[in-house]
Amino acid sequence: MLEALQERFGEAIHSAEQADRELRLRLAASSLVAVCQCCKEKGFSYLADITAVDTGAELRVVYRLVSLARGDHLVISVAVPRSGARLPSLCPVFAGANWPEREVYDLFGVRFEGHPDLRRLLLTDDWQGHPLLKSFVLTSEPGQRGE
Amino acid sequence: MRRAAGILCRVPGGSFAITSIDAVLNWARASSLWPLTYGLACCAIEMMCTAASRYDLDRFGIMLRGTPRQADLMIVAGTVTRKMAPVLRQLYDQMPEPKYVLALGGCACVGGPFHDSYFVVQGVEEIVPVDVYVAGCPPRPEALIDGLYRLQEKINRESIRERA
Repeated sequence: MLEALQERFGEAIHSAEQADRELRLRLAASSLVAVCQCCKEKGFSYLADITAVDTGAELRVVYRLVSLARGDHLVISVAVPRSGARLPSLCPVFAGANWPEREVYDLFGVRFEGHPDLRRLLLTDDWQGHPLLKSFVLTSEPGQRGE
Repeated sequence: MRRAAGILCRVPGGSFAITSIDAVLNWARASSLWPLTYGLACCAIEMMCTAASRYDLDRFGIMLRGTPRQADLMIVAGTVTRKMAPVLRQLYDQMPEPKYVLALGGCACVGGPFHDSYFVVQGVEEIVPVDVYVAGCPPRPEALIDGLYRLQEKINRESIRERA
């Protein structure tokens, strides 16, 4: 699996790590959709989750793909800047990416280009800010809340 | 009605007609509280448990309803988020008068473990008037039954003169 991906995408795979039944890849954002399409064709047909990690220096958007037939997991992470981040949407490949991408947009502020309906998912439509960013001030006082 | 007659006979003083209507109305209201099943989080598990056969709310005339139109008590059982708040208010407005609210558990009372949280309502009293607060995280069924007793006591102190 890894060899096939490395042969086809080469430089786009920044690093790869195999742990038990889980393959972890760090990808360039530009190749994300093509790699996911390729992985889907190779049996990773279930997109289990999309989430993100705020490391302080950057955001890492994490995609977890599962092969239901083999039980293998594939974890793809893509680094984006902490503010004004943009990524291509996975909705054309996995229809189930719709709500997870809305959640990541809602809580981390990553805009997914090509998403059919990129509205907030959990917070109200008029909400300001993205509360899972480390810089967000968590308080119930509306005036002191925000980044 | 035998119990109601007993209440009526014990009412002292001259304003017999008004106090006796009070007693009958209060007895009727307190004896058949139909709560709106407003379960939002883990407190809802305790509320369901209280209604089920082991604690059996039916024996107090308390039967959970699935629609606000048939309810006169709203048991807010759980965490109210800012997104849920307008929905809660709308359901409260859809309940016919007279209506009561019981805040079940720390979250509904004051925000509970989500104190000072950015998206949790810090006590449901921000949205609707609360009659009884039941503390706990979550409260045991006995605590909820005690809260309902307190509400019945409160209803029995009411008068139609004050409501008007």
